[in-house]
Amino acid sequence: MENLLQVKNLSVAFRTDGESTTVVSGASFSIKQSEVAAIVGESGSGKSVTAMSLLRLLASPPAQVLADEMTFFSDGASVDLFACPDQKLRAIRGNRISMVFQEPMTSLNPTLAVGRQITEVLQLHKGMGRRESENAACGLLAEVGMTEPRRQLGAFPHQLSGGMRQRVMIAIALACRPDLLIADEPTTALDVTIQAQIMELLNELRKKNKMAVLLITHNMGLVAEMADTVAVMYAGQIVESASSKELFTNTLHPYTKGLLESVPNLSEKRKNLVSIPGTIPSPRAWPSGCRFHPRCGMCQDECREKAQELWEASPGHFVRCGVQKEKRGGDIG
Amino acid sequence: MKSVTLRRFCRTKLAVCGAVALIALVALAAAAPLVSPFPYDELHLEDLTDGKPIPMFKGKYLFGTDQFGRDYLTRCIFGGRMSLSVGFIAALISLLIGIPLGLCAGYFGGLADMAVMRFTELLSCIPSFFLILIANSVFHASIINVMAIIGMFSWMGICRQSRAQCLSLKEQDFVQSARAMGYSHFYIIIRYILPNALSPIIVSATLNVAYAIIVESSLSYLGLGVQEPTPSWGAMLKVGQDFLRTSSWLAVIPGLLILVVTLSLNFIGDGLRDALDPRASR
Repeated sequence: MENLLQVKNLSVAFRTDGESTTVVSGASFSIKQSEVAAIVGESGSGKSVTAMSLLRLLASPPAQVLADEMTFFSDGASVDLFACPDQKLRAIRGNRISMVFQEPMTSLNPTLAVGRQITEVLQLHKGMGRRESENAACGLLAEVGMTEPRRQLGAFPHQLSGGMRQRVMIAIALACRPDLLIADEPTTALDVTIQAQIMELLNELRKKNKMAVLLITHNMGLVAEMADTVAVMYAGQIVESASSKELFTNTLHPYTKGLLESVPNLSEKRKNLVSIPGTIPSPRAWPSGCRFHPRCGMCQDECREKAQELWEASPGHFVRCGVQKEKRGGDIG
Repeated sequence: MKSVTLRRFCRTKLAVCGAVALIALVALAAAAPLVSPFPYDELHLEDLTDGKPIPMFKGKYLFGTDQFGRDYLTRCIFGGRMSLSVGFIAALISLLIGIPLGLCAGYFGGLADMAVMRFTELLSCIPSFFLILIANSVFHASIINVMAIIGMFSWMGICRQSRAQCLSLKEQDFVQSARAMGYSHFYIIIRYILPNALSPIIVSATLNVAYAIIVESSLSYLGLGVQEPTPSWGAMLKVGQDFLRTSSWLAVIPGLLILVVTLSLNFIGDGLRDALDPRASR
């Protein structure tokens, strides 16, 4: 399948009080058409910032985004998201690439009826008239599983529950049938039963519309269920990336292992929940050498000094861990 | 949502009293030619004794007359027309200047913010009444000029408030998501920021109306505002001053009217502030 989005060497820094802190360094990944790509990591690992920088949504200053390549392929043409003029980017935002945010409670305009918020996107990007866009909005609300869509068009956000609002957000994001949907922790703020419903809905709509999804999450269970490819981020770097099957069967990076072990599992008998010791370091002072070494069980002297490079453990499976490389090298040799 | 605000507003007795008084006065002023018993500039010199104003409740003159025998009730109603329209239109002008400047400064930040805010500070550190006084003596004193000048020197508070609102609103998730949907800056400001910033601005706008009415009265009192024979409460106060010992009602009535209107507006402003405050209890 063809590439839809190709990102090479994306770095994001924030400049505050003359001091520059690098939040994302050298992230490279690509998303193919109609696949689900997931970026996983703890809070503060830089995954949301990565997503925001794809649509240049970070305020600059203070943010400084650098990338060797950030190309979006749509309708047989390629657009350089990093360098294209604002106007061109605005025509892509919400139209070819749209976004669903984490907080449904605050992501809708409280002073506009939800119907208007959907029709406005259609009128802007598709040039629809009032009548036409209203009918389309009604169809969209039905599509995301709202009962009585005609009546809900006139509802204000404060009259809807969190799950309903997230459905409306999805309807807005899907209105123009985008090629790529960036879902930034779309279910974190919802309760568990609603989470499952929303993810099911997203998956269903994705299949129907042949749309690719970039799923930003910290939920490994969700990744296992939905994603085709996974990139694990730690401290602003991608530490392991592979197809989802490969990653879960052949986990290499100790951080990924830790993440997987800390998922509670009903079939196992454990006394305590397993967690990775320590917390994610501050971007103001990344640890020297491997950024994970202070929390790593496999840490060796070399890890403390030498910055780790990504290497290809098997075709398409990249890891940023020198210890594993030595082990593997030994195996092969 | 709207009805909750209305219900909370109605719970404040003073605000309701203010609203009733203001509505009554505005209605009277609007219907001035219909409800007033005489034309405001009609002289009844024949009814005067020794050229003295006719006292209240005497004959056909409910509020008496001034020293030219003009019916004082009529002049109060027409004076209200002047004072109230100056108040509302001047406040409207200050909104039209202050809101766009404040929203743009807050939204775009950086150099635009810097320029607007320094200019605002410059204007606010000079006592605006003196600026208005100077401007008013340079331009010829017509009602339109008075409105425009008062409006042009009283937008600073509105501007600062719009900016503050905008600064906090632009960080909100729904503004972020509006950007992710591809809306232009102008559209986001008009549809996403302005409606959400409006309630505190409305509160200060009501206070601006009261301020404009007082300034207009002061100007007219100093003889720089509305000119004879057109009545305005400030100008009537000035004339009344000369008769304070013999015919005190000439000064007391317009003074009371100014007091009632500005107090009402302040009460309404306070009531609105409480009613629109999302943190206040139901």
